Amino acid sequence: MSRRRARMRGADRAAAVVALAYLAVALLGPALCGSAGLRLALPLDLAPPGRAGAGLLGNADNGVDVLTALVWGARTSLMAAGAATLVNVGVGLVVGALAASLAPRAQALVLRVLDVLLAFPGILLAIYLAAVLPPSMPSLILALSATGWAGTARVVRTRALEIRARDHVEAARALGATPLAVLTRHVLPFVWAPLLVQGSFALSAAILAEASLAFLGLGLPPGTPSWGGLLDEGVAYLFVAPHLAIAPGLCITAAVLAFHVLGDGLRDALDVRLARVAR
Amino acid sequence: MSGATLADWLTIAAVVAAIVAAAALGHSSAPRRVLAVLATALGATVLVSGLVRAVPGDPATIILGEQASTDARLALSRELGLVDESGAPLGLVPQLGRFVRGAGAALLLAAAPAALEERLAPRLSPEPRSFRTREPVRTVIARRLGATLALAGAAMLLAIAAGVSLGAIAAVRRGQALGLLAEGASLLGAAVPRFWLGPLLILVFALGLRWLPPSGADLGVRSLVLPAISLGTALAAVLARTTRSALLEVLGDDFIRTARAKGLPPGAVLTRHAARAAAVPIITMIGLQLGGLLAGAIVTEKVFAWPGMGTLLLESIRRLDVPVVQGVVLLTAVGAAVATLGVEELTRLVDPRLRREDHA
Repeated sequence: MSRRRARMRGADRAAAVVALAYLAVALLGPALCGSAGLRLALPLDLAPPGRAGAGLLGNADNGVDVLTALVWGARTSLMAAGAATLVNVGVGLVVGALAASLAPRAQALVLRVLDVLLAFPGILLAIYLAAVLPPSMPSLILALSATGWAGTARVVRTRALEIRARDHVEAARALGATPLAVLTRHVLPFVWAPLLVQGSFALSAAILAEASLAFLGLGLPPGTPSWGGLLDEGVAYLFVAPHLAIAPGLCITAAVLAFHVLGDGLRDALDVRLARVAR
Repeated sequence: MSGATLADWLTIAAVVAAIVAAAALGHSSAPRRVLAVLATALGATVLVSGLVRAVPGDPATIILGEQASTDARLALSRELGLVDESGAPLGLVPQLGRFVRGAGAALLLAAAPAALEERLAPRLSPEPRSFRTREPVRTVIARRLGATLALAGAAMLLAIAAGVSLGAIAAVRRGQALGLLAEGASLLGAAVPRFWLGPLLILVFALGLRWLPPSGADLGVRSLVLPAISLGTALAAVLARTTRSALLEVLGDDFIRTARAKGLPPGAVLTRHAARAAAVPIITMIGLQLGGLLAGAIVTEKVFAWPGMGTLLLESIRRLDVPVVQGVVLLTAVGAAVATLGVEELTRLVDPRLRREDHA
């Protein structure tokens, strides 16, 4: 058993390293590698790695350097998925906390509405939103955060109800604290742990959803470097330039897996039992 | 703002009543669960219809471009249900009313036998039609539905077969090399995105080994293999994890000890006693994942150029054919909700303990 636990901690550590690398590349990478590699270089069109003048990971359509595009793609991915996760967690926190303070009947109504949102396959709504909204970063963030907050709201509500039943909350009420003070000072401080876990899972899902939308050609204006977009090119030129499909897929998989494993690790470390939520 | 007609208000009232009724009743007994699915379907309809309004600016201008004539834009706005026949903008209530009745008409006509169709059509609201081909949306979708169902069905069967066996191996051989291998395989399967697994499969099995076609649907079952693996792998991984934990939990139960004590061979204990009890969480998980499977088919279809609803959706998005887009999204969402309900009912058939809870 102890061996197994040690191995799990090793996986968590690896996930944390990958997650930090993702953040570092997204934040610092574009400044370090510049945007020269994004310019057209037609002689290098679809050049595989190793050809004279080609980039370390080869070149994409119109000779764009794959490594540079991946670094800029990390920034796109973090901006969209990170912002969507903040919206998810913020809205989920507010709705969940408010729902927990409602009368039982009203809570049931809120829960059903959340159920309707959760029953809608999240990526389908994201595709629809990305399709009807003009392609831009705000539209993309809206599409990515359209349904995820409902799951967070359920988790927050469950946790808040649990905390409200505790003695210290009753004591605060007995001392005459207003409902708002009870909520913000005595209930919410206990909600951050499940919120952190939920946020990590949400970020993992948002990175995947952003890549899916870019792969489908939705979301950002054409020409914006993104992992999904690169992979889309990779599939289009699969038989001519298979090197194009490998690197972006690896980046997406590593980032998605890292934040997912991190969420698992956080859950074990913080001993949070999340309510079962359809994802 | 053009006023809402009585029919609009009745439609809205029916939508609201169904959602409130479903909310008030919760979802324990069968009719209540059906109502909950109805509420989900109507909620999805409200979302799909209302979101066209969320587009900043005039949708018709965005679709047709600034140069389009006023007449063309007006015609499109009318088609989108944004203005009435005289060109006055429609409020949210009549817009939703028309959308719901149009979708209802399409549904009725799709379900009606061909002989009834012509007599039925004039009595219903005008059904939604494709902007590009003027065909009814239901006809456009019907042509592509079979391919998607075949893909999703094959992926589902594959996922159940692979996932349940992997999970059972991981549970029965826990801690041994074979069990760890099964666990590792399921973790890997969960991590690889569909739109990357697909190209990798093509590179290996179509380009490298030349066993299977890389894309299209011309070669029957042979064309289906790679897309089905690509779509089903994530579900297989989830099912493997569910099966493993469900079996581990069940194998510690008293009735399993009894079965073993009476001298039943281990294989019979597993298939006859443990499998039935462990089936409930597995079936429940399948239900929860159905929506994801249907949505994942969109990506898979693009990778393999599979002629289903997913490629139809992407084509229609590119051509700004809003009614077809709305039809596909709505059908997928409602299909997922209905399938989830069906799966939930199935768990009640499998596990008699769940049936009793209805009356408690």
